[in-house]
Amino acid sequence: MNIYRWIALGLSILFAALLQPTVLSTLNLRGATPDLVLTLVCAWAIAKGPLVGASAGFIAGLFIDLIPPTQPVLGLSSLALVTIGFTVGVLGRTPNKSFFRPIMIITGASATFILLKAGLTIIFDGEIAYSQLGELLVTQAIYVGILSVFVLPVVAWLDRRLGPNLRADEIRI
Amino acid sequence: MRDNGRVRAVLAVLLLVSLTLTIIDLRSSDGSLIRVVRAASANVVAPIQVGIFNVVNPVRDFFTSYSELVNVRERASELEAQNVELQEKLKVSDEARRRAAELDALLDIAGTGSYKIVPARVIAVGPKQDFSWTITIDAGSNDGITPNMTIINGQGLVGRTSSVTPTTANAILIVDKTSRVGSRVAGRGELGFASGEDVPEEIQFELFDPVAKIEVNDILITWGSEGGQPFAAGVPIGRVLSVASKPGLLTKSARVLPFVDFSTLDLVGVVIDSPRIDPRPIITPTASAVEESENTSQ
Repeated sequence: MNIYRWIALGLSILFAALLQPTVLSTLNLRGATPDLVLTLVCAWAIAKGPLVGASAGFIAGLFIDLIPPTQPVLGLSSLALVTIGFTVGVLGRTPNKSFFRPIMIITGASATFILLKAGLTIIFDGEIAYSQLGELLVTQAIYVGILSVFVLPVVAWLDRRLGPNLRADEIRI
Repeated sequence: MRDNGRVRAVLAVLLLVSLTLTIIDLRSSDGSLIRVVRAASANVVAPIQVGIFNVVNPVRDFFTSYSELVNVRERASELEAQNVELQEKLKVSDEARRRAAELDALLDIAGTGSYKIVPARVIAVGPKQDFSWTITIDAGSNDGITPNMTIINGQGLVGRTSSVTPTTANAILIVDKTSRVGSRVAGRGELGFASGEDVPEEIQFELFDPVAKIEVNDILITWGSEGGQPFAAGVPIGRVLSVASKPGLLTKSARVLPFVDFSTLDLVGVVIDSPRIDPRPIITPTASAVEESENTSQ
């Protein structure tokens, strides 16, 4: 990871975090709001491994918790997204350049994210509406699955454009 | 091996920092650093959100009107049905207004009954996966808005403002789980709290009086707070869907359908000046109640 990649990562996640409540939420789709931020974190994790995935998750979590209108407890989203980013980075090894494997991983990660966030919210911030949880899980998985089809190539393209891939970038566990 | 150790160390540090932030935020009071950071970031983001709204809105309006053009016939019948429904609602609110006028006259309160309202548009909606119902509107402290002001729209009570920046304000909707509205059953005067359930089409209404009379289709209105903040008096909230009185509970509760359609919020109004004279009735013990309490104390 050179400095340009870190800047691209930060800016792309900030852009998504700003777009999410203003554009994606107001589409009034059924269930969850299409989670572009989560999709980006996962895409960077798949492109650059667990270290970058965890860092991207941390930055994204801070943006989500600080950008209005929702003001959950600061750090909750980071906790969930660091875990997701790291795990996706570990699972995301794609030696055979499969097209569907990363999409499947991201779809699974999105449902896991909802469960993690729900658990953390119950622990730190009180009750949630359990009746909505099933619909959130299903719709989130569908929306994020569709988003990842477009986000994965964009992140891969950014990664290629921003300098040569050094061996140190390929840290895997 | 060295790399694996580094990755694990970074993971541990990031998780620890997140957890620390969480705990600090939960423990923090009003003047703390995290609140300051939060307010500062809201101020930075506000003009960007307004900008995005201004760019996206014409595009969204175009697509909305295009799809409406395609479905124009379906829309017409839908609107006809809606018209009938609205006329019914109008009759209901007329009745409520008549009752309110009677009540005001009875209590000799010359409530002007007119609120001063700042109109605003919804520019951002909190993602549902954050387990909360919040919005951002494009009017802020420059327009005279402060935290804890009533937000209404043409249908009824929407929520209250929670924090403001110069150009935008964030609001908590009445269906959010943290929202509690002091409300009254119109025409009956029974009091209680209407609390959100994080579900857009349901509010839970808890009556103070376990033997109070409440029926399906009763209308719920706000009872109003001191100075009209956070909630102005007499704003319609919703219609009672069903009443449940669980044995063993000290309160009676009812499921209420809010008048406001929270999935299609657009134009709202912030009440910046409630009636000059508070139209709240003054509740005094009746003569018989006083006698009764005297009898029991003897």
